Amino acid sequence: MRRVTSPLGLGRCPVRGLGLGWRRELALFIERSPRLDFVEVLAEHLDPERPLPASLHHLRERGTAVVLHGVGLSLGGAEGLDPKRLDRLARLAEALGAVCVSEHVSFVRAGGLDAGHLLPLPRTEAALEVLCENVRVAQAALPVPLALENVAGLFEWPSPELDEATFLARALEETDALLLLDLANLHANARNHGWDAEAFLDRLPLARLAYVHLAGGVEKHGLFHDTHAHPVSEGALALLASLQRRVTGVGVLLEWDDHFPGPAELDRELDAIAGRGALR
Amino acid sequence: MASDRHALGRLQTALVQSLIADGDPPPGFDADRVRAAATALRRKRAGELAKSWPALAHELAAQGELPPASLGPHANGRALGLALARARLARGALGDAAFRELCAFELRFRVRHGTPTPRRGPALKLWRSVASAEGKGRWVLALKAPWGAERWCFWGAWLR
Repeated sequence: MRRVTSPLGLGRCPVRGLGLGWRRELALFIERSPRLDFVEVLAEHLDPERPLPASLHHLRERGTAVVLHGVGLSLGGAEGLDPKRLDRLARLAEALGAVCVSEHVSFVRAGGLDAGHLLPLPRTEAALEVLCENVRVAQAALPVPLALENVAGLFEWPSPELDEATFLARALEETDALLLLDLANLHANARNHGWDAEAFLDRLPLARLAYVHLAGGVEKHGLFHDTHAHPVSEGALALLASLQRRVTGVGVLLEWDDHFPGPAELDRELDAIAGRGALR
Repeated sequence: MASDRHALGRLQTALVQSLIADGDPPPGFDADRVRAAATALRRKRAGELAKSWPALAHELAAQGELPPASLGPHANGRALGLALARARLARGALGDAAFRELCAFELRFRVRHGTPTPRRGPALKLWRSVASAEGKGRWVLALKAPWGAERWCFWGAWLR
């Protein structure tokens, strides 16, 4: 198996090591964890008109790299991007000194309706073209590189023209964007749709890999739900080990969004991630 | 091409409508999977609601209800709770604890174009709850000082 080096060496998105999603509930834990090399801040949690939380200033002074993560841009939306949301994202990236911005290959609103959730795109040439046009608009407005993340979905669109890995790879190559690979989402889709996760990894342009997401989930009524509120599944951790055989020097970030655990459990989760491969 | 965008937009709109209105999905989708996603969305909304509107979330849960799947144009749990609480108050279906939660929210937050932001200055607010199954209507007057202190006056007994 050919091993590639992530673009970290090129300085395009300088995150490496271990990361944790910054949430107000986890701010103290993060401040007290010298093992954390980077954090990811949710754009929708901050207001560019107001001062940044003191905890984020502290992390920046400590030299912890910050990635700005968006969930509301609707990059695959047929309506195009909302200039106000994009401007807000750009101003937050400046204020945070973010090393890159990441968003999802998905849409969240259509026809004036907001689903409040990351919905999968139809894997067609037409949807790919719309996605790439929107990504180029976002790249032109953002002060730092943009990374695109694969999403999980409980359903798929009918009659796909492309497989998911090819759709994602084409979007990355046609826009020169970076990849945020969510292994928990890949694991969820593999379980729910019968995808071959190893073949998916084989088809991705891993030289564009900016960093990796891991998060917990739970199986309910025969479906795997990506909850961000449970321990990381063994299946997702196994995919991290598998990825580490293909690529070196990639940062891995744990997302936890609800039912926050205590410091001991968080440390155990981070240990499990660090134990699956050399992160530095 | 613009026509491709329009066609994609129609499909995306039909899918979002089916998810948030619990309707039939567009042709070709696995209806069971789309319904599972719609239920997961409503449970996600319930979780978001519980963070900023615990009394309202408890009231809904006690009645076996889930909040709607859509957050509306101002997507966050605070705005969803505010819209839900006001709608329930208007039809006399808001319980006492959730009514007090609504009063406290409206005293502490300013709402512009549906988006709540914390009030920095003083505020004087008067509410009247309509009679509900839980009790008769009442008046509530509250004052918030610029430094955050609050004074509350209630007329009419809370029956529970």
